Amino acid sequence: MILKPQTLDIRIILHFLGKIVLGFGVMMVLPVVVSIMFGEIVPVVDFAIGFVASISTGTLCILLARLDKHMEMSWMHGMVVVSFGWLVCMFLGAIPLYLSGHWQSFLDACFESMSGLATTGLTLVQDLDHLSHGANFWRHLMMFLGGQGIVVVALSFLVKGGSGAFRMYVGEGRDEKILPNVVETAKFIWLVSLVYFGLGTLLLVLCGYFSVGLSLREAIFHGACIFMAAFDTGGFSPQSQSIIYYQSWLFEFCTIIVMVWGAINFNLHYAIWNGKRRELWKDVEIRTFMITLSLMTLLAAIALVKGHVYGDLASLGRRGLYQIISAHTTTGFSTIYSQQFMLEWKSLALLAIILAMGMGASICSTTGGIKMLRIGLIGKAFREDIKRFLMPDSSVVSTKFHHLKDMFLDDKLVRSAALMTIVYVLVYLFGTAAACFAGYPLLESLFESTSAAGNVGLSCGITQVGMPAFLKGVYILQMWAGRLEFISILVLGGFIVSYIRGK
Amino acid sequence: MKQRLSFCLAVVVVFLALGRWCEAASSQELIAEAKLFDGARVMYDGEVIGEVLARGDHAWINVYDGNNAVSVWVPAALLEKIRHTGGYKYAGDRVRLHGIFHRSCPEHGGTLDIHAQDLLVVEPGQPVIEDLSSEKILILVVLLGVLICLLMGRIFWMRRAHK
Repeated sequence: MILKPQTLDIRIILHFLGKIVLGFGVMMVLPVVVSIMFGEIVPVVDFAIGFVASISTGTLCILLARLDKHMEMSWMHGMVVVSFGWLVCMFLGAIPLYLSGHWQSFLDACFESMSGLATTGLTLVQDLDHLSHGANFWRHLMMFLGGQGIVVVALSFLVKGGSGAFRMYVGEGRDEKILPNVVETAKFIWLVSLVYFGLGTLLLVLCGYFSVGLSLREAIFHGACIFMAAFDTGGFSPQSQSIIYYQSWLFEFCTIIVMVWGAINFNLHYAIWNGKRRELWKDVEIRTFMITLSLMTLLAAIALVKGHVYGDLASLGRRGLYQIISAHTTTGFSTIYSQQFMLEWKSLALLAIILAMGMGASICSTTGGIKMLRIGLIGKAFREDIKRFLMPDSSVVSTKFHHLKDMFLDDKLVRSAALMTIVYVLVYLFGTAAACFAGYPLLESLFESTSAAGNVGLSCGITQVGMPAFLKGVYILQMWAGRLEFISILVLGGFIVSYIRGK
Repeated sequence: MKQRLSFCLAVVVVFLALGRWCEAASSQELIAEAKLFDGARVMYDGEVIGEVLARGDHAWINVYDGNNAVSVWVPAALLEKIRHTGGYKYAGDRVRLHGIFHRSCPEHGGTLDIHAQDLLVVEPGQPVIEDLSSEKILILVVLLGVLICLLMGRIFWMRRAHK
């Protein structure tokens, strides 16, 4: 028998949902400031509408909940709040974008909003090069908020700590606390992000001003936007040409540093902050990342050299290796046009980039995809099994690995890693099937689907304003599910079913 | 007769070469047929967007033709013609340029670019006047009214809860 959720369950969910929406709405003040700084009037009104709509929605939720005292959340509440909260934020975040007139429909604006929040980077914007600074900043800020986690924003300022807060934190696709208290963890994530924001933006501003040739004002704007998109492995860019616009190897190199830095587990950032730099080289995630990155680079390089796609080493590095790093960190910056993937890259190079996108980078970072820890554990389990066959029957085989601390590989860990990997692969295939159904070729469909569900943002040209509306919906679903790592969305589905069919 | 034939053939070859030498191309054609256009002299039209990115005696400009923007490597002498670049507040100068197209430029790290040889501003850029619609103001006022009502409701409920 399915139990129907009680009114109290809904009130608890509404209360915390309201707080998340309030936190999200307050952030719309920042693009207003940017618009004022650049003397843009209409975007101020667009964001004022978005701000008031968000604050009204948040207040309405809290008012409807009418919780007199602090209530602890169950796992179900936490998961539903997070998954539903992301959907509500997608709609609210899309309002100022749609009002700017640069998105053909509200669905397109929602696509952009989810792509930003989920740090994907696929875009349906029209005439991006004439978009206001305010709206452009909002696209990038959504990546920053979504990358650190909308719940992390709310946890830092609006929600009291406790087990309920931890349940929301887990629901957002993070299962490792950095500090014992989840609110302290959220605050640490923001502290790290803001310090890196300052340093990274400064690096990119200097590079943009001296190397690229941007004016100081634009260098600051581009530096901030590109940092948010790179550190949060998002992939939006202020200009339609992505990184091609800058035509500077130094700028490309700086974005690689920020992308890779953003792809590292926040726990490792914490270790580095505490002077434990050796952790960086010992951790199984980093080691797996180095191995897979080398393999994918080698595969792509062989294919591109054999196909005479790029004539020299510098071109191969800047056009070939760059895309692989961008794909593997699930950022989505590009130094080639999206059509060039299918027109010029050979099948083996495409396979390398699809694999890189599908695998992703670190757990508890802003990257998408299967994640390196899972790949590493599955690899170690394979090695252990082979070892077991080679050893005498009576021998005991055990495998140790280092992830923040020394651990033994057990079946439970491997099972969990394998399950998540299977789910990711199924979601990649689901999107591929949907695109094939819409009439796109298999390879293109697989590329785009992996990019959407892995929250990468590289496109081979399918993601366009003219693509079928149902495919836009599928990609929104994939981006949402990929970012939250499925569990909270499945719980939301279960909650809706139990509400309808429960007794 | 043979001489005449040879002459005609030569004329045809020269015309074909000239045609190949300077083809009008859109960004979509340049990207899709990059191998075909590689090394050819092309004519490309579009709006200058972003900023002029100065690099010594040359600069990069990005020219948008309605589908994609293509990077163009321009000698400083030609840059004086460009007055406005496109952005939120300006429609940039529309330029027509001739230059050598590279699918993967060996001089610039394999980028797809055009090395401009001459450049003409066909339509000067101009400021874009912002259009604030009254509908947006109306929506904002209505939403503000809703928000005030909600906040009053919240204050009322909080006072009741305290009692």
